[in-house]
Amino acid sequence: MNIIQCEELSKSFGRRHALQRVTCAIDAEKIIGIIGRNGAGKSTLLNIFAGYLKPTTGSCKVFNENPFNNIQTAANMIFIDDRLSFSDYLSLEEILKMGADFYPNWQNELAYRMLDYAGIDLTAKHQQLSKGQLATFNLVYGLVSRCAITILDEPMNGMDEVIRTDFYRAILKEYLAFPRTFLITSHHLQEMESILEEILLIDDGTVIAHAPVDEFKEQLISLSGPGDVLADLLSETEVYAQKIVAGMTSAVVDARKLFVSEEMLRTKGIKVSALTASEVCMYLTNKKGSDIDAIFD
Amino acid sequence: MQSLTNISLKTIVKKQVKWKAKLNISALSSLIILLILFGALTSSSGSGSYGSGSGNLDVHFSIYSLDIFLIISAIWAFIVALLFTTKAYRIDDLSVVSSRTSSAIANILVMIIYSFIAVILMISTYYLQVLGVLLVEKKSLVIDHLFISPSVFILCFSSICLFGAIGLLFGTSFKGPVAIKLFLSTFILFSFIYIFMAPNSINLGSLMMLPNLMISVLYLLVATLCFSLTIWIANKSEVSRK
Amino acid sequence: MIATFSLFFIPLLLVVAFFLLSKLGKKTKKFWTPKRIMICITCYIVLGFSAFIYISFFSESNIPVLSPSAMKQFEKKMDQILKYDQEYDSSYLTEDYKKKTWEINFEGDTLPVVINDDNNLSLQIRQRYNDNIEAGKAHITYYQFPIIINGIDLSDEVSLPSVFVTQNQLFIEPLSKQQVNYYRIKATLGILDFNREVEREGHVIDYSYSNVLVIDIPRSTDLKDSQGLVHYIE
Repeated sequence: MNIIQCEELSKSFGRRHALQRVTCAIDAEKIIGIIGRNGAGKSTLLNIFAGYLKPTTGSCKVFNENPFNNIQTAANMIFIDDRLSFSDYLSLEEILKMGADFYPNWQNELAYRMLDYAGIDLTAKHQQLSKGQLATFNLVYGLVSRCAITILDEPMNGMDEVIRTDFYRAILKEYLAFPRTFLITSHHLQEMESILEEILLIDDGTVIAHAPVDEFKEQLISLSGPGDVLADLLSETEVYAQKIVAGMTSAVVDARKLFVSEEMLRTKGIKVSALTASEVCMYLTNKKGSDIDAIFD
Repeated sequence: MQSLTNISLKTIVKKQVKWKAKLNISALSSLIILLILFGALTSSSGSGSYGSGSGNLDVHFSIYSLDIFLIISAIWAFIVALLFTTKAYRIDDLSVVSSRTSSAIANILVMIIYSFIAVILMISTYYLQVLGVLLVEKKSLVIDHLFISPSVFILCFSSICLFGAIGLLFGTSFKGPVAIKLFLSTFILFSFIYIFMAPNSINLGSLMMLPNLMISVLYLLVATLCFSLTIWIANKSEVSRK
Repeated sequence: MIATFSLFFIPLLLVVAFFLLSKLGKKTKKFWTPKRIMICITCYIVLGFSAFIYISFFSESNIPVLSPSAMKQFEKKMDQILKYDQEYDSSYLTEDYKKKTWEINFEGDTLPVVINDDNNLSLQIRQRYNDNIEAGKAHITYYQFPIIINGIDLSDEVSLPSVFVTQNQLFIEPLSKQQVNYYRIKATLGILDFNREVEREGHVIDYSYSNVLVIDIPRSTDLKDSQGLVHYIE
């Protein structure tokens, strides 16, 4: 069942086209990673889902309604990013009280336990927290609100590795306790992969891929073997990257366009290896022909 | 799938008003400080003075009235309303369940509540000032009216409300869609030009001749118009946390 | 002029005040929680209310202000007095208005009167023949009528003229201008009242009638009035 549907969604800010004709559908009760390079349009898309921005053209429907300025959508959605701010007069404890007042599914006890675990003093003010503590508190705020759509925009920014691992588990556990749709953006896909169910890849304002994680990973494979043998194959399919090391060529190719079975490849002496999701993302969003080394030569 | 929560606009507005009124209370404390400041400044000369004479007697009257306090409160209401629409307060609204409409209505209700309290603060400051004058100058004190009539109270309330409404409208318009920003800028420009070119055409005198209640009703009508425009513009505005 | 000045000055002052308050606010935010501020505001309102109670019950120095209807009655009374004066009848000069009497002695039958009235202040001087006075003496009585300015009777504030005899001449010198300050409490909007009063016609709040100084002399004496300011009265 789709809770978010976009049809030809476009958003421009003056001359800058942030999103171009995005069409996608997001199911209920899934953890989805929204991945993309900086400036790809992830935040814009999420802001439209949250009802903060209006699409320039096209439509977006959340719970079958237009989310812009919609109180019903707002009651079932929460948007957590590093700019979440509260009044100067509230201590963290009072912020939690305020959240409990607004969100009907609020879990105050859970919040206290999580913040206690993270070592955050509840009498402090939001503005006094360090970057990592701020990220932790914001994430806790988002988790205990138990909204049907929880959008986390780079939630682990600033957190140390230990607490990051802990809170990935926390997201998963909360998801199991109260299933909802999580939309998480992050630049650390390799850490997050284990909890994600689907990946939505955005590049240059368009959706390049939207698939369950396993399917996503199988999109590209890495082939390595003798250069001449590989050359024939490479001419028939789309090559994303190519490298020659000590006589051995390795290339990343589109698996769907490869019409040769694995058995065949092995007999030819070509090794097939799978890629991680973040590697797939990297290759899919790489600008053809651009290379950082070239700048320094 | 979990069932979605259904919340009415009224509930959310009530909650937002409760929290906003509580958290922005420092605006009222700053009003008290301003009123005390101006009350102390004008305690020797009063709100105005005039002289009269007959024979070999020259009389100088210093009048203590509500004027200066009303002017201060009205300007305060304008500035506070303007501040309510600035970025810091707007993005605080996004941290809880809210829509542009609910936030605008909540701001309006809070401004009305604050205007009412402001009138009471204004009157308290006035009486404190009169007490001060009484204790210092027992002999030459003339009391014309001591009780503030309800019509004057309502007039003060509607004046402060009006300025608050104009402040909210200005603030909301400047964050609104481009078309509205443009319209507002040209409107302000033209009104300034008009005021300076033909000041006589603005007939404030006839306004003052009307009875107090009629002026109040007029002010409240204009304030309601401003509030409605504020909500209309807010509905069209986008927000961003950046 | 004043309006434009205050229009610029007051907002500027307010902006400065806000700026200072916000700077201070950061430091004092810890102490002033919303609850404490609410208590402060409530106390302030209670203070203002108690000030009001105190003023309304304990302010004793109540200088009465004449209402428009009282003014009208007063006006009628005064008009009658004017009629008397025009008819040279001195019976309107009753004890109520008598403020001060002087008894002077002089020699001879003629008494020159010099009135030093630089400021042309309205003091009416009348002479009256009184058979009860011996020769060489004169009684001078000063009658003070109510001076109502803006509804307040200020007759007590008027200084008495100085009357003395030097070189066998009677000098009458009304004292120079005197300034009095009053503080008026008007719990209303001054601007509105001011504009409305200007428009209101036929509403009298000021009334003054010149005060009268009567010189009672015996019939034998002749008052020499070189300035022509003394009038005869019965």
